[in-house]
Amino acid sequence: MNWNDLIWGAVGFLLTVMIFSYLIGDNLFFRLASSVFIGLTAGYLSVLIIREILIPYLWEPLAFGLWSERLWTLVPLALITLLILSQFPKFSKLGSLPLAFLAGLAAAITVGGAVFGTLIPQTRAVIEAFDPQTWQSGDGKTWMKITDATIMLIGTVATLAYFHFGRKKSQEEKADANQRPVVFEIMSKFGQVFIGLTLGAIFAGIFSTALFALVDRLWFLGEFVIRWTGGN
Amino acid sequence: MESLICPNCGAENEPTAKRCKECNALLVGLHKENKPSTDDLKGKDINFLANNDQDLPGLLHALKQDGDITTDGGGVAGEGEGYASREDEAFGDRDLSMDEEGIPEWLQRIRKRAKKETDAAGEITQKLSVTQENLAEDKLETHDRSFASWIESLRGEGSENEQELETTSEKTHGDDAETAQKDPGWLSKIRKVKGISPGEYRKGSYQKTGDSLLQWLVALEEGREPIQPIPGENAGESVETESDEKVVTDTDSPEGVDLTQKITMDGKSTRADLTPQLDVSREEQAHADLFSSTVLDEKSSRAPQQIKTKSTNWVIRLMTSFLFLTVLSLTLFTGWFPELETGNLQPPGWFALIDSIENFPEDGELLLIADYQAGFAEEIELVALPILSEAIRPGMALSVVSSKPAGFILIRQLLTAVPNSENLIINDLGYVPSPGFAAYDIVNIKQVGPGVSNLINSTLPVSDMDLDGAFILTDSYEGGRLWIEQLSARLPQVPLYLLVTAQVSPMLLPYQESGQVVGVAAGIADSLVMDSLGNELEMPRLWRAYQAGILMLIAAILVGAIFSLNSFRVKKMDGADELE
Repeated sequence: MNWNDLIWGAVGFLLTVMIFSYLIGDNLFFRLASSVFIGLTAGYLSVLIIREILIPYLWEPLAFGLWSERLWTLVPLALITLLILSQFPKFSKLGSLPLAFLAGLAAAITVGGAVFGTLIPQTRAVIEAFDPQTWQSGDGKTWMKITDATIMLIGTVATLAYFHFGRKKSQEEKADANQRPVVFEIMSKFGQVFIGLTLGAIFAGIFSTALFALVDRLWFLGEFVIRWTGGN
Repeated sequence: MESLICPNCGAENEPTAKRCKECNALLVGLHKENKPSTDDLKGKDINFLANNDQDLPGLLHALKQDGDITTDGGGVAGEGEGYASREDEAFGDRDLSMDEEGIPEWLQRIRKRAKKETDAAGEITQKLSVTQENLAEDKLETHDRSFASWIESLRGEGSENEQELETTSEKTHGDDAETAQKDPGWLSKIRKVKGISPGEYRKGSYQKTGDSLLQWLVALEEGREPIQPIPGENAGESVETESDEKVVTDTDSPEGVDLTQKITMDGKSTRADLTPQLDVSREEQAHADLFSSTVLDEKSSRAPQQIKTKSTNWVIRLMTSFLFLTVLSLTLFTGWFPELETGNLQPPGWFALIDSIENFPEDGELLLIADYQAGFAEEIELVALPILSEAIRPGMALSVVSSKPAGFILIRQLLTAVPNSENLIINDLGYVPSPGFAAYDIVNIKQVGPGVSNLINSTLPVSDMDLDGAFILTDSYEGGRLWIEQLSARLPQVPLYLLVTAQVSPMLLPYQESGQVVGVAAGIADSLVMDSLGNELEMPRLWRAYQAGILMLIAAILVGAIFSLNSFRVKKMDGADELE
């Protein structure tokens, strides 16, 4: 083990133990390690953005680019300036323009992707699950495929029914005016079951990832101690 | 004109009204009040108090509260008429007899009360002001005329009352100094303005002119009483009081109209005297009473609650954590925990994934998307290394784009562990903060206008590249979803492969079911399957420790569920604290 590995290994060992100290409660060592992590992340992110984005896409076109490039670069430069000025209370309203631009751009990209990348393909998949040609092709028994398709359809409809919040508009005041239609009430009960199963699966996945991270950190600590003490 | 007088607040209401418009009191059973016209009032000395006592409902209510009206015939109605008011209901049928002088009995009680109290007129003034406000709402002129005649009648009676007060006050009060000390400061000032000494007031020396305190207040309000300066001060100048408060009189007011009254503030006046009076309507008072009745009393008894001490939680947490870490460490370094049989753990679409990557050409081109953070690098590496080792051939071209800050560094660290990676051509497409922007940009480089530089460091758009596959390495659902949406919509011919952490796989599996993604490999369970391909990893120890951790989690959930069923319950004060 060379000195470089020893030093950085020791730093990693120390920070890991400091994070583990949270088991006994919030303490100075945990807060110190958290602060180091946050500061390191912020610093690295800042350097990365400056080096990978601001310099090659803002500074270099303005300084060394063609006139056309410079003109185009003035647009993001103006938006950046407005965004920086918006941090001052006197010019707080100036930040609305660049933020609106960003929000509109993100919405356009996200909505397009959601419609063509998720909504339509997923709907098509549910429909194709009831295609008889799909039942006969591939591995597995036909009745199992039909059952899978039926459960998937019921789960999809029931989950959507759970999130139905519309109410029937009626001129007469009825006692059950605020109640959902009976069909939606029944379907929402099934939807709760599917939502619960989904959340349970997500929780299992999260715990699995967290457990593996813990096992990996324990392995790192043990391995460092063994190597530092000269063991195998 | 007929109208209904509210017995609660004295407001006039429509004859057909069922509830008072001011205080919402019930008006059922009241008899309609005939308001006399102006002509009828001319030249007549109408004794309103004698004939119609509905003008002073508040006064009667006050008398009732004082208990002056007894059950032996105390009536509140006018002569000759049945009075089905609330007072009637309270007192029952009353004998509405009149004395020989024609003065109603209730008026006699008022005078008796005036004998006992020194400021009886003050209360009448209050009631008068309430009635005056109600009457001033419509037909002001008519009301003024009728009110003026009424005031005249009051003056006549007030002079009589003050004569009686004079006889009693001479017995009860001492000299002028004592009286002045007992009177409030504002009253003494008013008398001083009028030039009336307390003794003269008691003696009634000014009563010959019919000028009493009550009448003076009424005249002042009507504007008939001129504003007189305070003796010893110049009129029309600002008065600087002892408390440094200036009271500016209006010297430019129209003739005959005195708008302000100069009142000197002496040092005796306190801030309490200057505090503004809060005008609370009856509705507001009712709401306040309702609110206060719903608020729990602070001193009321409450059910005791079991309070868990902090030290107990701290000890349990520490012991549980110590046990958990000890089991994992022993499993990792000693291997004492037996490896459990897991059966066939093939991930969904695993066969399709393996078949697809095995058919990559030797000189193919792959796209690696790094969308994970350093904290999950170990798990991603555990999942991705076997697959990339199988997919990457020597001489292949790799294009790497990262949507997380440390993405490119982690990919390079990952690729160093891949066999035959020395001869790889790696094209760094750069870092883009947002997966959505990166995905959109990576496909549309060519469509951007001249002179505009893209975030992607590539002169050739990905759409023009002959990609054999795209691997998305992500630890977040949002990032993975954005990449899949953009690439599957814009590059449908490029097969997508997901190499993700276990926490993401449940949310991204639908994309594998719909055919947008060829295969998904997630977490240590899927990497165990890949380990069967012959890659040397620390899988056995890691897998055993992972299994031990899962078992301990299941045990903790079961124990917690058992304890929650036998949880502590809080009982009310009328029962004993019981632990069940």
